[in-house]
Formats: sequence, C-alpha cells, structure tokens
Amino acid sequence: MLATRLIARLTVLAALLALAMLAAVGAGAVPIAPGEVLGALAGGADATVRAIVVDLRLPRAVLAALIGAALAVAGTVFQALLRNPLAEPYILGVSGGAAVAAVAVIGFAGAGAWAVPPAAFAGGIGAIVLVFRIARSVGSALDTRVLLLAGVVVGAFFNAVILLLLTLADVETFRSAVFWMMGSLATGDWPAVGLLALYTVPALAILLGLARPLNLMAVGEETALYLGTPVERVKSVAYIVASLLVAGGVAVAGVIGFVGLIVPHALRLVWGGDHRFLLPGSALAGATFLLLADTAARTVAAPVELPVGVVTALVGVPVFVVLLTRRPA
Amino acid sequence: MLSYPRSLTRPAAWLVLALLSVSGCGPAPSDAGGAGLSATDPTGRAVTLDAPARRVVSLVPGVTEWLVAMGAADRLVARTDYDRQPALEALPSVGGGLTPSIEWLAARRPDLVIAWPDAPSRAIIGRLEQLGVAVYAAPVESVAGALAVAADLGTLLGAEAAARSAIAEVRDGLDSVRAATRDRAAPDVLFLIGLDPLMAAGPGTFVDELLTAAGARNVLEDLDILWPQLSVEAVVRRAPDVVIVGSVEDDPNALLGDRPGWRQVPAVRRGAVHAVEPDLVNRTGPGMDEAAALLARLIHSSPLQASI
Repeated sequence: MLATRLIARLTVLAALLALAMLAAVGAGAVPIAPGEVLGALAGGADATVRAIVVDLRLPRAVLAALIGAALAVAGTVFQALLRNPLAEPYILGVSGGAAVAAVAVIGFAGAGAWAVPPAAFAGGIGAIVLVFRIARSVGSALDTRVLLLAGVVVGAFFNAVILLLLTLADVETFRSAVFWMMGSLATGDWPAVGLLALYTVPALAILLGLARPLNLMAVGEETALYLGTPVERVKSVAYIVASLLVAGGVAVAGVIGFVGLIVPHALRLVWGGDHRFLLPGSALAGATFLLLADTAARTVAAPVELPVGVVTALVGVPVFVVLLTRRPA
Repeated sequence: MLSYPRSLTRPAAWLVLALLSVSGCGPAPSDAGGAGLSATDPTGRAVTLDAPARRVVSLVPGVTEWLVAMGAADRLVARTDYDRQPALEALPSVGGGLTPSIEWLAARRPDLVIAWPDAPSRAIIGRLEQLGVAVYAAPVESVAGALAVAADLGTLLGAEAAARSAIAEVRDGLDSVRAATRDRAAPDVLFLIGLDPLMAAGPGTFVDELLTAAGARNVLEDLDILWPQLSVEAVVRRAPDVVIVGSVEDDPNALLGDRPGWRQVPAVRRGAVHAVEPDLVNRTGPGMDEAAALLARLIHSSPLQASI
C-alpha cells in the first residue's frame, strides 16, 4: 500500500524530470526545431547544431539536474537534522567558506579559471571542518542547536571576509567575484559533469539510506535512541555527507539559492514529511526545478543569460507562497 | 583586399608555404590568406588561425572600434549593446557582452571571438575553444597594451597594413597632444569614473596615461591601485585644480559643489569640473588620441594649437 503510493509519486516526479530534460535540451538562445534536436542527439544534423545540442545543452542540463538534486536533498537533510524549517544547504557556512577561497583566487592569486573550483571546494571543506570542530567541542554529543549556531556565525564571519576582500579588490575582480557568487551553470562541460556525477551520486545514495533514522529523529533524538538508532553516528554522517555534497555543487556552479530551501518544503506541504519519500522525491523535484529555472535563465533574455539564482528565487518564491497559503489549516 | 578560394585551406596552403620557404622566396607574411596566423593574447594564451578570420565577434567595445578602424566592420557577425557605430547597426546584438549565451555565439559560426579576460568570461572562453572557435582575450589596461592588441588583431585578420596605419594614427595623435602641452604648467587633475561611490583613475590606467599626455599631473600618482575608491577627505587633501567626471550627468559643477566638503576643492571653487562622455574615455579604442586632445582642451581651458 505504502510502497505502491511511494512508487506512484516517484514515477510522477521522474516523468516530470524527463519532460524538464527534454525542455532543457530543446530550448535555448538559438531556436532549433525538435526534429533537428533529435537528429543531433542521434549523431546527425549539421556540426554547429550538434555542437549546441550535444556539447552545450546536454551537459549543462545534466549538470543542472545533478546540482538541483544535491541541493534539494542536502536541504531536506539539514532541515531534518537541525529541526529548523529555515535550514538550507548554505546555512552552515559551506558556501561562505567556498566563496572566500574562490574570491581570493579570482582576485589575488592571479590564477587561471581552472583554479577556482578546486579552491572553492577546499574552502567549503575548510568551513565544514571548522563548524564541526566547534560543534563537537561543546559537550560530549553533537548538539544540533550548537551545530546550527556554529554554522551561522562561521557563515557570518566568512561573509564579512568576502565583503572585506571585495572592498580591497579592483573593479574586474569585483565583477568576476560577484558573478561567481550569483551562481552559473555555463561552465558545464562533459568532464566537469562526469566528475561531479561520480562524486554526487554516491553521496546522494548515502543520504537516501538515512530515511528511516531521520524519520525517527524527527520524533525526537531520545525516542530514536530507544528504538535502536545510532543517533550520534547518523547526525555526523548526515552533516558531513550533506555538506560535502553542497561543497561539490558550489565548487562547480557557485551559490545557487532557494532550491534547497523551497523544494523540500514544497514536497512536505503537498505529500507529507516521510523521509522515505521526501529524500528521493527531493532529488527528483530539485533536479526538475533547477533544470527548468536554468532553461528559463538561458532563454528569457537571450542572447543574454540571467543568473540562475535570480530565476530560482523569482519563480520559486511565489510558487512556494501559493503552496504555503493553500495548506489546510 | 585579397581573397583566396575556400579550397586553399589548411593542407594545400601549408604545402604551398613549405615549398615557398624551402625555395627561399616566400611571400611577405602580411595579407597572405591560408598561412597559419598566430598571436599571443595579453593573458598569455596562444591564438592560432589557419586563415585570416572572416567571421569575428568582439565582446569588447574598444576592440570593436579598432576592427572598424581597420576596415574590418564587414567581418563582424555580431555586436554588443555598447557598439553604436552606424556600420554595425544591422548586426544582431549579443547584449551587454558579459554573460553571453555560448550557444548563440556558436550559432553565429565565428572563427574568432574577442572576449573579456575576467573569470566568468574565461569559462566562456574554455567552452568556445572546445567547440573549435579561436578566442583572443583582451584586457583594457594601458595605451601600449591596446596598441599591441590592435596589432595582434591585424595579424589574425590578415590586415596588418590597415592595423599599422590605424595604430600610427593614434600614436601620432597622442604625440601631437604631448607636443602641444609640453611647455605648459601641469595642473593637478582628478579623474572620476564614478561618483557613488567615488571611484577614480589611478596610476597604471590608460586614463592616467591620457592625462599625462594631455599635460596634467594625476593627483593620485602616488597610489598603487588602478581604480581606487576615494573618500571626500582624500580629495580635499589632494586639492585637484581640475576634476573630470566620466559621466553623462547634468552640470558636474553643481553636482559636486552641493556635496559636503567639495566646496573646499580648488577645482570646484574655480568652476573647473568637467563632464566627458564616458565612452570617449572608458575604451582603449582608436579614439584615444581624440580623448587626450579633449582632456588637454578641458585641462588647459583654452583651445590648444591647430596641431590637435
């Protein structure tokens, strides 16, 4: 009964993802007829059309889906772990650490574009380690309230450092850094997508495996402990794996907001808070949402591309408000 | 301009060139289609073309002006919103040029794209190169740098002669401005590129070079920041005789005089605050000599000799 309903819902979301994928590959700044798109996918069509569809649109669509899934699942996990509805993937300072490193590399190291993703990733890892150590140093168990506060203050500190760096930076660095922080999927080429997939998919699988313990912990940590859940280990694994997932996404595409906040809440509002559905559902819906947002970002003002984070907020927030207000009291 | 049949591309051209060079009577490299053309852009990347670029997109308006000055307007296949030359009006615009759609660019089938060198653009450069489009990254930093970029583009377009004469014209123009202002006392000048926040041209910028050519002393010459953000205090202390604002604002005298502190600045008291069309002084294009001449006229407040 529950299993069939679960499968039915996930099938619906998977079908939506497939449609979004078609839309992303079919639409762009250059109008290409559906027949030609299919021809290009099959290896035909002329060289420019094939390059646009196979080398530009397709990897970018896969990248959007991977990052959307990662952000939405990380958001779901953080909301459950911190038992705070405002939790989102960047609340614990990962994006701040990544941004400090990225801005520093863009502005002061004089390094090439290739250096920004590894630096951002390292910065994200640095933030994760710092926040975790602060949270672990208080009491014997990992107190998620302390974790939340540690994350928020570390994030605030990093934001101040970013503003300091931007004040000292020259005009070009300033512009580059602001563009980076707005987030973009334009860099998505096949090697980057492949690398991110190798990293993201196992992390998603680990988090999806935490559905049952997260359900129990939603009732209360003590209850979960009495029912045999290794609460401390689950908390640590959830925090670290979800943060790593976010750090990978930030390294490749910068900071893309609202996906990780809105998608889990929207699914909870519509279909309830059971993590056995919520986690895979968030992965599918997050991928769909970011794909559609990026397709809009690429096409609405073409040939100018809008920052995808602007579209996720402009479209996501009104949709979310509608869901929130039509919830039965 | 020479045009070679399409068939004379890579293999044949290489063969011809190899034979000619073996026989020791190769043609002058200029304007010869088919030879491998290469240049190193200011970011250190090697840019190589098999034949002179025929379909060019420039995302950098200053560079676009150079291409037009070289008579290559007909090779441009797109423009940005900032390129307002009549010759380019009919071209489709990529927008501002900072976040262009890569697929839109690819669909214009360019063989050469001139891009900004900043970090987001570098990502675009990488993607275009994977698609087989040559990309030349052009920063706007110094007069000499701009002239070198123009010379490189002359090479890549197989239009060295036209590039040389466009470059010589600018160089001569700047020299005559220098000559005309050489014997005059150099007033202290502050050049503002923005008012909120106050942002000025520091030493090392091409604006600083133009000011020097125009017979001025940049009041910020001791700083080592290209485009420093200033406090009003710093301006009052440095007491510029002339302030020039790159702005389309109304009356800059009134604009600055109303702000707290500015009444103490000699330039404001003398009424020597001037606004100049931003496009004239924010591009290292072939209009740099005219920009220097305009600055000289404003700074020295009386028309200079007929040499300008």
